Amino acid sequence: MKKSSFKFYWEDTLLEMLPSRALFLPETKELLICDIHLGKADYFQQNGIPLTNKSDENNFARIKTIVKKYSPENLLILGDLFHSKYSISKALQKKVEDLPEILKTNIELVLGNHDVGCDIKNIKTFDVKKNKNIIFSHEPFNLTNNKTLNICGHYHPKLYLKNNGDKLSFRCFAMDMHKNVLYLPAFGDLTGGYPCKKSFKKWAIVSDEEIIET
Amino acid sequence: MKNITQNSKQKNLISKIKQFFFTNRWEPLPYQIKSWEAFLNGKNGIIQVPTGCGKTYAALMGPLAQIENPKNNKSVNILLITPLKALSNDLKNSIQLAALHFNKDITVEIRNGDTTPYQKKKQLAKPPNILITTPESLSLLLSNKESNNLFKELSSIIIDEWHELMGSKRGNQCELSLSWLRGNIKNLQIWAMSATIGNIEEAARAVVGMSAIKPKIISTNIQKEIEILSVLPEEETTFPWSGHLGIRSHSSLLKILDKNKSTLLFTNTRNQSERWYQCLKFFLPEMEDKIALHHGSLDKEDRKRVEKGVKDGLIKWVVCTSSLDLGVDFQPVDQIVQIGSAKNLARLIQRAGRSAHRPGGKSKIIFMPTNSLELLEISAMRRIIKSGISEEIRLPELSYDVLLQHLISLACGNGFDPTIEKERIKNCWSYRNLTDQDWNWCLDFLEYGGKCLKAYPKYKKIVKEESQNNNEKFKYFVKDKSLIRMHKFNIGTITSDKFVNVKYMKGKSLGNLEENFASKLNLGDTFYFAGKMLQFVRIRDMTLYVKKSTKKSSLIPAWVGGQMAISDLLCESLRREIDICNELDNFDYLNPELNSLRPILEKQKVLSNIPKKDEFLIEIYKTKDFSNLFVFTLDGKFVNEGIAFLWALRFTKLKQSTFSITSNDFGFGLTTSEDYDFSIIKKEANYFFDNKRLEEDLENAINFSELTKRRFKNIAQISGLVNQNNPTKTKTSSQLQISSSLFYDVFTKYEEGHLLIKQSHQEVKEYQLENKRISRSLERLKNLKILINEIKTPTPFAFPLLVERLKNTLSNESIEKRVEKLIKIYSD
Repeated sequence: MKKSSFKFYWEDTLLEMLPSRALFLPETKELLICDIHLGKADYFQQNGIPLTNKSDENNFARIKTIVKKYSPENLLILGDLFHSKYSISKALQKKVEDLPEILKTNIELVLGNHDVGCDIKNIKTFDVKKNKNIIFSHEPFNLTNNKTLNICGHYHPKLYLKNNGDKLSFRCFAMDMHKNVLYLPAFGDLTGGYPCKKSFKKWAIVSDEEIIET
Repeated sequence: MKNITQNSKQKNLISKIKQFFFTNRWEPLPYQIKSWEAFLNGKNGIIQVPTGCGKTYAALMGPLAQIENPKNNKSVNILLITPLKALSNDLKNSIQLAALHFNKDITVEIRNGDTTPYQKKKQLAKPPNILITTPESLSLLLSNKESNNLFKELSSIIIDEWHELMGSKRGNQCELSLSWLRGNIKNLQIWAMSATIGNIEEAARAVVGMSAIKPKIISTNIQKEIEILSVLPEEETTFPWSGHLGIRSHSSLLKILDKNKSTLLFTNTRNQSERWYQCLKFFLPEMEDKIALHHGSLDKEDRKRVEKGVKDGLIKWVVCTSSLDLGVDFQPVDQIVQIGSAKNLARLIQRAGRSAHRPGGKSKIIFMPTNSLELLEISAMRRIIKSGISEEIRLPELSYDVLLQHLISLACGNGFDPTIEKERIKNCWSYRNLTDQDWNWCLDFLEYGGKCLKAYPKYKKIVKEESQNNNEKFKYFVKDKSLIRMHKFNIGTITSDKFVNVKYMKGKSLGNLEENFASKLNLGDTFYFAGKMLQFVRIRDMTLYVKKSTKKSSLIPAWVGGQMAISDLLCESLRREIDICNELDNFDYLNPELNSLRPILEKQKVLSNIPKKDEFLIEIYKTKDFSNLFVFTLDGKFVNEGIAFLWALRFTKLKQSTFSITSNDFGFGLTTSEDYDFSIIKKEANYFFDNKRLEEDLENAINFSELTKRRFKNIAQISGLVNQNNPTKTKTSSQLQISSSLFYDVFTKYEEGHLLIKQSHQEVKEYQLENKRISRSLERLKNLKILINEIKTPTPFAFPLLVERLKNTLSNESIEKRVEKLIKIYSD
């Protein structure tokens, strides 16, 4: 079934999965994205591998678009905002620090493994963030009770479809029903992905406007 | 006066070489003497003789005789390039034997992936007179600053088994290294050795370069006699078997084979070799310890043990794949068996050659068909051998990825001046059509990362450095130490898909499997690998842990790339062969293979037709559930597959439907589950044979971008975009991991005219879809008389295609049973 978004209730909290690779929580007006990997192209260039930086511009533009559309009070990034501390140019640093002002929204970052060593002003950082019955983290969190949901990034989940030499892949939201972990798709343009377990429930992003339940 | 002294000197050297032969009680062959003379006259060229005729001594004695003061040399004198590491040791031994005859101080050493760092260092400090190496190790040497010194006084280069290198990008890699050596060293003589091939002039030109004077071609009329003995079906049958089913008739093979003779049993795929190994062990329990398995995916140590076992005579029979085609000169093997079609003549001759490694020796090969129609191929091969025609081997052209790798290698070593290097590279046969525009693109790509990266200062793979005495001139260098290290680890053109290691829980390694197969295994699944029944325990860090199992399973891993199509030359003679089948009563044509095929051919004639040389046979077979179309182009598997996709698309354009496709070397089949009117081919013949819209239609028929993406994977690795090996597994290296398909997307999206993307399209068209062959085939078929027969039961020609479909639809169920059922229907 194709839709422009999928709604999902955890206890009484509404979660909305968007084809723009983001998760929206209307109650608290929070918008969640993860794994943007800014500066990735630069990092590759420094290491002698040519990749264009256009993806960063594209990522910023897409952030602006969704913030405009949903006007969240808080933009929560679940880790890997940057690719590596070695590839954050001054211009990039400034662009990120100016972001709350430009977007007119609060921005928070749950630190990811790639963010290690980054020092950014105007953005509040956490290792893990808790909110009622939801835990926000970068890598999956070991939950102790089954009333809590963990929302995380890190994994870059993708759905792979194969048929007689034909192969397609889509970014997806993936839910581990046994462990109550919801993995968000990677937001960054220059990111690959990994297949996830068969037992996971998946919602695949098939285009910029459509998402399907599988 | 000078000429006279030179002449007498030459005579002296030749008589000295002859002496070496006489002391060993050998008689020099005329072509060997010709080779020595040509070399000593300063010529370059190629020596073309069948395997096992003493070509090593033909090529090497000249250069050896010229080494004058071996002890005082500060550089390598003779460089020997060989395609296989395994060949190096045997080469070294035979060269050393000859070297002793001239001067006991001549040193011979090997440098390849197995050489220890200590030895490598020592070789640079005190170069041996003769260095034996592989194309990859040579490239690696060029990326070393010491290369200038190491080759300073190099006088000659000998390339062994050039025909083997020529067929792949390793040939390009070799050409590029040669171009650098030629450019840097004056009066360098280059000779190659090759098996008999159809385009020997091109091969010679690629060795000496475009600007050199006409290379000398030395061939011999030594005709190696080949005896082919086909294992014929015991009973008269009217249906052909297919695929690995040949195992069923193992008993006829076992009757012929001698248990005490050393034997190589060649199969076409690793999967097939595992099956046959399993089968032989089962039926000959007493041979258990004397049969071994050898294929490229087994652990290196295990392979070495098998090779040694054969040399020592402990192992009698080895079931192997092309892994043993070259290399490992375990002196003459007594019996050679080819299981299934060898697909081209060169391979059959090469393999047969293993049975007699002496000049003039007769080689013998036993052919075991897996499908009786393969007997037609053997019959065709007999006729080709008799006529003395050989196949052509094509060097890939304009491989930008290999060029980029070569340039980085040079920049890691002594740097390169772009104006000088361009001329050297354009002097290579496969880069003779390199345009200035493409050359500049390559430099831009390395210096700036490409057109749209020019604005990004941080990217630098190669950097300019002005010459000290002339600031107009500059050279390119790689300065970053980690880039150099990374590059050196990635040199080479042989890339592979992702593999997982297979290990016992206790830690012993068994070999490797494709990731794809591994990912489909579930806990507790058993499968057959390395000749053992194994149970899957867990997978961790790219390692598949297994334990021994006693559970029976029919699951055997299949490796991608196992498929081959028969060669152009063979296709042509196969068509002639089938034409001949119309006149089986003419005894002039008859041979054992055709004779045993008689019942099958007669059945084919009764049910349908045997196409004459001006006819094109198409069969339509309808059952309650399916409509099948069988088309016999006799043009090789890949062409058939291409035309099958093309026609499927063209059918669907005329009338909507879904087709499944099967193909083999004879033809292809289209199947649909509805009542479909295939006879429209006749009415719409122009449309089906249309050549003008070929490329466009093919791109629509096949998921073209998926194919090019797969090709690009290999190109990205060779050109250094994606690293194959990570020298250190640090955090930095994991942050540098990116998939080639992401590169593909980024380049296609942001960078128009990217040469590496262009190359991937070109490679798909040329090597995968074989556009040119498809187009030629359509052109040929168009002019034939079309025979469309509606058949009531599948004909012998169609049978293998029908079985192929069963194989594709059923993965684990016993195909044998299904086939038997089919035969029953068929013989009723």
